[in-house]
Amino acid sequence: MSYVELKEVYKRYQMGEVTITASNGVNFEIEKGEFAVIVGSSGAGKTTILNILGGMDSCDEGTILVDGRDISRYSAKQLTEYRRHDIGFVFQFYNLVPNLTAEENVELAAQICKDPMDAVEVLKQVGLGERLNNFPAQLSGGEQQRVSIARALAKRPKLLLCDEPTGALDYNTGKQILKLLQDTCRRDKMTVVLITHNQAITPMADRVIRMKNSRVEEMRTNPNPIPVEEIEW
Amino acid sequence: MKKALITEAFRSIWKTRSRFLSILAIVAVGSGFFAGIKACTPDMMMTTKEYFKEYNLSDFHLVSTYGFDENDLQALEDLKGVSAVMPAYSAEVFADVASSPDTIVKVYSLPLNEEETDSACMNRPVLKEGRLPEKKGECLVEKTKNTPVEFALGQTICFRTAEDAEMEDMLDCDEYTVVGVVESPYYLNTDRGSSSIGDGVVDTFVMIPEEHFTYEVYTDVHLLVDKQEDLSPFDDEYEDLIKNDRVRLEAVAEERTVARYNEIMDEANEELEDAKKELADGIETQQRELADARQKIADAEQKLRDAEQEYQDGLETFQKEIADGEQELKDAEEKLKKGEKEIEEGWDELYDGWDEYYAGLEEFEAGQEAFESQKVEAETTLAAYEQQAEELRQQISQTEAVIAYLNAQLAQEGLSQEQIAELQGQLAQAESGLSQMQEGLSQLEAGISQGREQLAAAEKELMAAQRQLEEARSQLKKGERELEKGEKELEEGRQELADGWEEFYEEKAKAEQELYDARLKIDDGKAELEQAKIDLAEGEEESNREIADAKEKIADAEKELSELEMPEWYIWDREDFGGYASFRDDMMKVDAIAAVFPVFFILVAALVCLTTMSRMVEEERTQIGTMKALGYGKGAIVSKYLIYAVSASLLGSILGLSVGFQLFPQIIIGVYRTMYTIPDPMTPFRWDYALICTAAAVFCTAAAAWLSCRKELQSCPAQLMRPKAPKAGKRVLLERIPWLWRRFSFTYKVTLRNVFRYKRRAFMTIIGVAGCTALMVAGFGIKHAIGAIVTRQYGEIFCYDGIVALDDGSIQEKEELYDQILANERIEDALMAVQDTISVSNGTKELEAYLVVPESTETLEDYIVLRERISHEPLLLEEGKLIVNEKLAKVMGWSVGDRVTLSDEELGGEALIGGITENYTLNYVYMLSSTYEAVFGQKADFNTVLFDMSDPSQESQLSKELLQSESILGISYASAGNERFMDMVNSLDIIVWVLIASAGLLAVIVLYNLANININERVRELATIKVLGFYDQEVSAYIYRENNISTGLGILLGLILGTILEQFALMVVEAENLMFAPDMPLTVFLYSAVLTVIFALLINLIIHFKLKKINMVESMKSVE
Repeated sequence: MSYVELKEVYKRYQMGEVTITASNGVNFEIEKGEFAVIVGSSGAGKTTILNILGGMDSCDEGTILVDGRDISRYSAKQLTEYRRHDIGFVFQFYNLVPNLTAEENVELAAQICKDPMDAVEVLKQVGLGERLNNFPAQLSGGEQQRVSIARALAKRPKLLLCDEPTGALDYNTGKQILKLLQDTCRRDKMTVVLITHNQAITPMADRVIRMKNSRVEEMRTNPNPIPVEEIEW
Repeated sequence: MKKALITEAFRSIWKTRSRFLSILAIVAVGSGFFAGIKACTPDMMMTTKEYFKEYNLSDFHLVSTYGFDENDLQALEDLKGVSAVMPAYSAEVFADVASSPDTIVKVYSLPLNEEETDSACMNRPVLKEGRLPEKKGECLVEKTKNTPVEFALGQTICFRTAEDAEMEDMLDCDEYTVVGVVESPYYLNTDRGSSSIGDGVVDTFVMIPEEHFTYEVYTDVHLLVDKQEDLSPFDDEYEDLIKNDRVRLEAVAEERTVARYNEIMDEANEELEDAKKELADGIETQQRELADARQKIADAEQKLRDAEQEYQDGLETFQKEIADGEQELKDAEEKLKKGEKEIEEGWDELYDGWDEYYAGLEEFEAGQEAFESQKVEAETTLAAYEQQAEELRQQISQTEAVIAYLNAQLAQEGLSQEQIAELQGQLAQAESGLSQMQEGLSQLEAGISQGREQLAAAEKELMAAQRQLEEARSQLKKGERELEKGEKELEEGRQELADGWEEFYEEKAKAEQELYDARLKIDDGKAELEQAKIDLAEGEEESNREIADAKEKIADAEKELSELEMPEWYIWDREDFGGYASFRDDMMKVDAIAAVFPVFFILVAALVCLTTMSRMVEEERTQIGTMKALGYGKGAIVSKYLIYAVSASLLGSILGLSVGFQLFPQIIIGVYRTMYTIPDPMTPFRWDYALICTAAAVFCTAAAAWLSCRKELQSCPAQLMRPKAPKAGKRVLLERIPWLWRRFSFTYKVTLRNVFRYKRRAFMTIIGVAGCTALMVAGFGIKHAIGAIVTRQYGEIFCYDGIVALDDGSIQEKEELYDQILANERIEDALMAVQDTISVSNGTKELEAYLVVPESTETLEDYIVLRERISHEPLLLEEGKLIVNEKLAKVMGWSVGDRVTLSDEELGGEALIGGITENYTLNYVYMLSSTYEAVFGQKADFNTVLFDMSDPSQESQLSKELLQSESILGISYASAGNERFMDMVNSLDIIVWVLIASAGLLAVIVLYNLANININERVRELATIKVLGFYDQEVSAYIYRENNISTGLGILLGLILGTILEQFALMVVEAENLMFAPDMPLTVFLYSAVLTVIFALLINLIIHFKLKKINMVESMKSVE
């Protein structure tokens, strides 16, 4: 059994009189420690899947198994706990609390976990050992995204979900962030799920899930993923 | 302005309607409260002014101890400044009702058929039910808690007077039918004044047609003075006017009372002379009448003696006549008896005769019978004889025939002889037989005739006997008839006799009656005479007494006249009318509160608008940039926000004002209407306040909008189009103090940093909460400050149950009165004291104060406690030193040891202050009686008795008992003062609750609004922490913690501000003779803080649900 398994997941939104089907029978699985990329153009249903997988939303039909637990039947409270302990989230716009320093932003997540990593330690890991006491406004975008990743990692999540983590960054910085994610995956055996519309980065993934029209169009594993440095786009 | 822009402006109002409404609401609450509270006093004044005008309330009410005569009225009418004079009557009586028999009624005269518009008809009744009286015998009543239930429409009510008064002297009728229920503008509260009867307190008033009063002069006069048509009776101008008029009235009073006094004196002297003359006449008449009476008695006696004589004579005659009459009758009776006896004998004889007759008759009948039988026998015998005779005759004829035949035969030839012998022998035989036979026949015939004769004789005899009997019978019958006649005569005689007796008795009885009557008459005459004698004696005595009385009366009158007091006029202006002064004071209090409190609302409202508008501008930064880039001018861009702000504040203001102008005056005046009889409040829309308010609100919001925009507009469009860099995090001040900062937990560090980050919002929250708490502190504080007056002044300081006011008199008389009061079983203990109004002065300022001089200080603390306010240390009255109350000392700037000038009319002196005592209402100066003597140079004249009751519920009984003594002028109870203050406190309660409710509303709106802004501004941050896995409670707490810190700070600030506010409000309201409790109990702070916390928690609850609704997907969105 795979670490993450989605079976026949449906999600529909009622918009006035129109029903929009955001997930139309999505099936895929991800193994533990894999670097998975969900790729698709805008409106292909990537974000819906990420939201459901991240416990921010629930599906209408289907099963979602994460580490053997079916989260599709979770209550709101259970979902909160799931987010709290099992999920690390990296946002496109970092979503750091502007009033907290880098260290404090990590602490904010760490303080609600059972067994968090040390904030300073994590920040050092992501290469921000020197900028612990800087406020987000004093950091560059890449640095902010590093803080965001550190915040997600500090919780020792089962899944690291990243929503277009490079979307707001320039090419090089984006590359560095992807490298950080890939390195983390390799080093810590962290299962990473990354959402992007950028086809170019698929070669770095262990598994590529291609989505189109609210369905999984193609899922393939990449036996020899290429390090990020070697990818050009 | 372009059409699209306007459309956009209004569309954005619709899209952000909750924000628009929050501005509208805060402006509505602020301006509504401000204007509404402000309008209370003007509304109340206007209402009462119109009320007084409509019902023509008099400016002055005059009462004279001697009433007002024509000259008095003329003098008043002629007085300059007086525009109308209404003479009237009043009387005090008891209502004869079952429910409360001692109800004291003040009866007022009501002019019938007065023109509504006639200015001379003052204090017109305000008809509430029924109609006004149209004829005599009808009355109007009022309905208050003191009115007996029997005083109802259609009922007949009955009055009775006090024991020493006569109804006829006051009213010509004591029964009236209630036709209407009214109120009077003369009485604003339920205090109906004092009375001289019963328990001394008038309970209710009744109005009856003027014609019922029987007084010779008017008892009351109501006056109107010349004044401007629309002058408010609460203006200073009116007060000045009244003050001037009062001076003039006092002058008239002085003049008229002297004139009246002289008039009365002259009249009385004249009357006295008349009385004296009358007395002399009376004595003369008495003597003459007495002489007449004596003569009459003598005459009567003579007459009586004559009558007696006549009677005796009559009696004698009568007796004689009676005896004669009786004798005569007795004789007649005798004669009658004799006659009776004769008759009886006659009857006896007659009966004998009859017996004889019947015996004879019997005999005769026997004889007749015998005769008849004999006659038959004889007839038979005779018949036999006749037959024999016949037979014989036949035999004879036969024999003769035989002889003839024989002869014939003989004669026949042929006969043989033998035959002729035989025929001869036969003839001879036949001839012998014949002869024999002829002889027998003759014998027989002789026997028959003899028998016949005998029979005839017997018959004759019988006939004779019968005749005899017949004769006897007729004789007897005759006798009988005679006897019967005799008897009849006898009967007549008897009848006559009986008649005689009857007549005799009648005559006798008649005579006796006559005699008896005569006797009676004589006796009556005698008795009458006796009575007349007694009457004479009594009459003499009585007339002597009357003369003595008259003499005494004359002497009394002379004495009284020599003691005649000057008439006194009481001049009352509206200040003295029922409840007028306290009503005005209460209005001023509301005004004072109105001056202070609403400002807070306006301030907070303005700040909230500012925050909201700047947030709005911030949110629409990108749009502003786009507009600018499109080439719109600054004015056009700003105009949208100005429209938004102005329309919100204008609508809010209009809404708030239209509600506030109604709501607050209605509530607050409504509260006062429970204490005062005033009509429904007039609550006009006050344009002056409305304009000020609206202008302020519009200005504030517009300025807020403009100020917020100005900053943004200075940036270039490109900059504006880019998302605004999030506010940079910063180290807060506290972090500079590491040892302190380190102590905070991580969450509190976050919270603190957030609080400082959103300084403006925190500041707003603090101000809003502080305002709310401050209003509550002030509300509760004022309630305590005034409420404590009652409990302390009447519970702790003045412990006596009541005060008796004594009439002037010698010390001895007062001692007696004091003993008498002390002897009353309802009185537990009593203390004599002087209570007097004096003037105290510190050289520059003069004030009135009550002087209290207790007879002894031993038991003083049972009645009045003198103590230091804070330490409660008792103060002792010392020789030569005064104790003054705190407020007086404060106003005059005195402290212990200062020298004080006291004056009581002409007398006066100086003394040192020995102590300053706790006291709340009125000003008091306490001293020993020896000090009094030293200061005023005369002995203390005790004029009051303070007392404690054994059962304080029996006030009215005690009053009734004590007021029977004429030397007791009146009794006042501490409970009455207490009650009056209680009413005031209760009315204040409502106002305080209005304050608290408004403060709460304010707090809720402010906190909610700010919390809303806070959430909107930080929605992304909140969504993120939700994604991070914060529980709902943790998310809420993240926000709460910030709010709680601001709220806590706000409460602290509010407690301080509230104390200042309370002090300020009390300072405005406080009068020179009133001290509010200056301490502030912890409960005031506690209640205010707790209530504020409750409001804050309420808001937190609302926020919690709002936060729950935040969608985590927000976190995915890009920065605006």
